[in-house]
Amino acid sequence: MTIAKKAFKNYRIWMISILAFLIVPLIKPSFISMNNIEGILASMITYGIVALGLAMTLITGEINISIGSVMAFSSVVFAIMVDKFPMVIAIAAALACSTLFGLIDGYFVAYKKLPAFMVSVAVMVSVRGLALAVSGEQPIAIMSDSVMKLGMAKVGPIPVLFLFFLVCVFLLEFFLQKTQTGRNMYAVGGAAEVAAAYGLNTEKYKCLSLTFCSFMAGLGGILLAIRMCSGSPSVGEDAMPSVLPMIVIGGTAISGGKGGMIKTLSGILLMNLIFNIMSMFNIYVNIQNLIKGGILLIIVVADKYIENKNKKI
Amino acid sequence: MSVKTTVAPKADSLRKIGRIVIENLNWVILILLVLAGLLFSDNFFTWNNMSNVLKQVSINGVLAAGFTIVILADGFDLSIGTIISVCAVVAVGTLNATKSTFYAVMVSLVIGLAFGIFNGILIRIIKGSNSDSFLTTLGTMLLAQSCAYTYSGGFNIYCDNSITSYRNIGKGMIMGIPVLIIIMFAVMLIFEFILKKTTLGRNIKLSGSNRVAVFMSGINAHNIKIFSFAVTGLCAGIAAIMLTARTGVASPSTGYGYEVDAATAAIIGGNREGGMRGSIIKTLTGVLILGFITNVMNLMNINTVIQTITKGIILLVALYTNRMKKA
Repeated sequence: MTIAKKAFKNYRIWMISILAFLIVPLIKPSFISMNNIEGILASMITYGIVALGLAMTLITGEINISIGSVMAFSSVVFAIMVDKFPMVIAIAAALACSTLFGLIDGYFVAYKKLPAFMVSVAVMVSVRGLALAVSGEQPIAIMSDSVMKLGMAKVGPIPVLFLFFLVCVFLLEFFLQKTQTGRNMYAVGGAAEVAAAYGLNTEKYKCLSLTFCSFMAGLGGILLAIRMCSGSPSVGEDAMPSVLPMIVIGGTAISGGKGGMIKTLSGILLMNLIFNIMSMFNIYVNIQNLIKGGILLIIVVADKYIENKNKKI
Repeated sequence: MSVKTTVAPKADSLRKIGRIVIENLNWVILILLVLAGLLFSDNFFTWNNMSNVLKQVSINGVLAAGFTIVILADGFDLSIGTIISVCAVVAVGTLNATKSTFYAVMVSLVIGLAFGIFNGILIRIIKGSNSDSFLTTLGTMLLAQSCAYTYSGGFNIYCDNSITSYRNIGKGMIMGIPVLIIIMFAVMLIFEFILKKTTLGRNIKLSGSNRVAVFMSGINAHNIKIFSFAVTGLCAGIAAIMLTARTGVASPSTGYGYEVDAATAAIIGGNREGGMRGSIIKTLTGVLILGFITNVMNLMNINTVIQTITKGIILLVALYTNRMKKA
């Protein structure tokens, strides 16, 4: 009994996902067709990568809403660079820019103690403007063959980019659970004062996590550009409301100090399944957005309600 | 010895000047912008241009006034942009259906108020602080957006131009002053009165800056928070009327980006979240700064994209300098 309870507590999101795979095919057999499963896997890649970065930020107890703009900027930079230079240089340039934005964000939030979301609103606005300026306010097509091949490449039925995403998940999980820096991230997010009293440089870890979040957002933008074969300054406008539920459903608390990458993976899988199933049943896209907003509200309210239940003020 | 005594007062006075500049940064930027406008363009200080600027900022002014109250009560409302969208499409839809300006205005105000109260109640339930209200309103933002798209079916809704009384809100003049400007100043005046002269205003500021003190003195801080969010929603409703009356069309993406502008205006003006020193006059300077930036850059033929980037950078600077001020 206790084992079952424990298993349910730790793996309930995985169980719900598996349940969906068992039940939905009874009504819609095409759900488990190879095409659809490939579609689900492919849809997990970009926002999944971004979710990993944001999960790291949430674990240290901060938040970064500039991810959508950073995605757009890095996809545009990648698209412009990749036709003129080798792909490695294009990727490096896009990632360097994204990391720089993250550093700006992290510097003001961690060292200057400004509220994280207001700083990221400022960064969001300017980076979106930069993306529009760099791209000339229109999408940029990628002509390079190697990018197209990379976007389509598969190992068996699984896209290569998805494998890359999985590798990222496991690497980051290892980093968070087994390395000193990773454990310190949890300490900083769970109780910043205690961590500081213990002698940890909390500012450094907060800055690091915000920079890393921006880095992953940049990586997500590049992957999106590879998959779409174009870079557009308007991608990622719904990044924040799409990504946040994935992380929080997985079990990472907004207040920080809890969570992990494998848990986040389960959240990413479940949210993508939900939207895939809704599309299967021909639910109108506006209603899907309504449900997305509803899920976000319920998650945030539940998470915060449990956290603040015993507070009087 | 003598060197020291001469240097020290100099550095001191420099620091004093720096202090004064930082404390009144909003006025300094405003004056610099006016000077820049006078330098770069002959048409800047004409009545035509000025009333144009005021008309352009009037919608943002109403929003920023409401936003100031939320910020002072230690909240953040990300959803006002999409609340404008939903109010706009429903108001114009009602106008076309009932042919009555009164109903259209009432519907817009009621919907704005309803969304605001919804936000407030959610934040009351979670006993949320600044960043919690941010995430909650992110959810409301999606809800309002999909409501707007569902109502309009994704299409633009055009005003029935035969109903002149509605369009007059946006185009009309009273004694040579555009109605939009009058609405903006009326809203600001009322809010300034509430903040400065009533117990409610005092409580709003206090509940933002020191929750423990508010709790100890027996003030219901949660109801004040609900009030502040409701006021912001109401402002979004007013702004939706002004916007649709001015342009004559409501699209489900009408309000896109207005929340950032309103937040920027309130913060550039020098209002700090949970700061006791906030006022609507500061917000007015912030609104004017944003308006003049757009105006001066338009007169200088600078791309709108550069204007967006400038706004973001100014917001960051304003956030930083607000921290250096006395609380």
